[in-house]
Amino acid sequence: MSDAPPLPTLLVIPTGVGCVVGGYAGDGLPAARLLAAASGCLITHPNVMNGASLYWSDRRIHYVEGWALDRFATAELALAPVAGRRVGLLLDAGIEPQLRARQLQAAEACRATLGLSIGPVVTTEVPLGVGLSLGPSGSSWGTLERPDALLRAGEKLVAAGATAIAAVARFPEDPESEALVAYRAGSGVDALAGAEAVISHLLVRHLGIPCAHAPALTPLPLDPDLDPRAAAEELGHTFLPCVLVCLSRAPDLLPLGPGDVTAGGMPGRPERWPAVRFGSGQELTRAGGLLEASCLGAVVAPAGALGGEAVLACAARGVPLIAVAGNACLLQVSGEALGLEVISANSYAEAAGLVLALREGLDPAMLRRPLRRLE
Amino acid sequence: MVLSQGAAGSDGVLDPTAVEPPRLVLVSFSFWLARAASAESPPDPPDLAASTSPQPDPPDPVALRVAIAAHLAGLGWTGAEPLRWAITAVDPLRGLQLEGVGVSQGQSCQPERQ
Repeated sequence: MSDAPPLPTLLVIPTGVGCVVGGYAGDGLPAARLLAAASGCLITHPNVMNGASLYWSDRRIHYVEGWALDRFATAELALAPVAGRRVGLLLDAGIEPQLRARQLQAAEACRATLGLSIGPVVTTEVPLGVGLSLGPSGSSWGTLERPDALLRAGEKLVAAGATAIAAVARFPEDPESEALVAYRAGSGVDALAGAEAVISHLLVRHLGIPCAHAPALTPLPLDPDLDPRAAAEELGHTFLPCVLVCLSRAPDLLPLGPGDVTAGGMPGRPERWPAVRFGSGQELTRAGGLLEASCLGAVVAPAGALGGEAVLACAARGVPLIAVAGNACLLQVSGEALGLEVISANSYAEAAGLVLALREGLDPAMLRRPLRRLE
Repeated sequence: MVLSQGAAGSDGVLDPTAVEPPRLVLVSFSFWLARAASAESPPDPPDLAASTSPQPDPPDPVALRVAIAAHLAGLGWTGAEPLRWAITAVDPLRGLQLEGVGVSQGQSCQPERQ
């Protein structure tokens, strides 16, 4: 274990683009755990962490929804770790009674068995009307017929004291669709992922608190050839436990003013959250220091999916970008194509080694051969 | 905020519970955005291409957000902003393919369906 100060590291595995690692049911979690150990401080998003009934809780991992992650990377938000929070449950009116009861029982289980603070429960006034779609690239996207109903339900939860929101929407399903068959066989895109992200993005953008989504779906028929990476989603009746657990410790999202990014102790910063500058040797305190984009020491992303806002914003700021070639996806938006300087890694194991090198103050180039002479 | 027709009570005072929030609309988009630097650079002679081709400028996410908003405005969704987006392809001739979903307050839009 390194005794060097933590190196805040951003791990991005975009959802809905068929990543071979992290494109299924929380199968990016082992990579996240390793990178958390290597960095001492990992910021990542629900697609990486959510494994339906499976989850992993690690104080070094900060769970930040995608819209907030983008705002964090663009230095519009800071993150303030919290001891715990009260997670409100937002249920789509389109969920059938039996399926709704399953969601409520999952929430009750997390209260009784894990001791989480959950509630209240609010149901939308009308069904949300989730729609799924694929873009020209094959990426998964989606929309809602009634985003207004989603946001009104979220407002009610906040008014009732929730400091995070777990949303559950009824998703369209077709057990025999080619996309689902391919996904369960380990060769397709998660068709639900794009719409899920839209739901959580809308809530976080509107309410400014941590939110994440779990789809409501009826159980699928047994598939003896199910790919291991998709198996976590077939263990139970809901996908909710991971969301409730991860949200229960998700950091606060603090808006930053335009001048708040590069200078510590800036005007307008809440007094109770002292700035933490990892690069200068200060440790992240248990009481909770602010994490800002300017603290980031590395960003890790699939080599072919570097075209998201968070990665581009980090690259523009000069944060070392580790591109994992071993996490293939259906996109080919590489560092070379975009004109970005990257540090290549064949796997997340190698990426973790590079993060550790950066944390220890080693130049990653010195670990490779041939070694060029100084000019 | 948009007040509904029935928002005023019998005494003419507005009932805040009857205030309707703006109608939100989600708009899917996909388009190609030319890259300024590469689009303006003349193609290199084949034998020199490897040594003299200029590297494209890295995309600026702020500029991309502005471009997406402009694209949505061009479709009639004035004031819409990108909610979730990514560059999903890069082509030397066409530039950057941007896909995503935008969000519009919707009440004043006259979208041209394309």
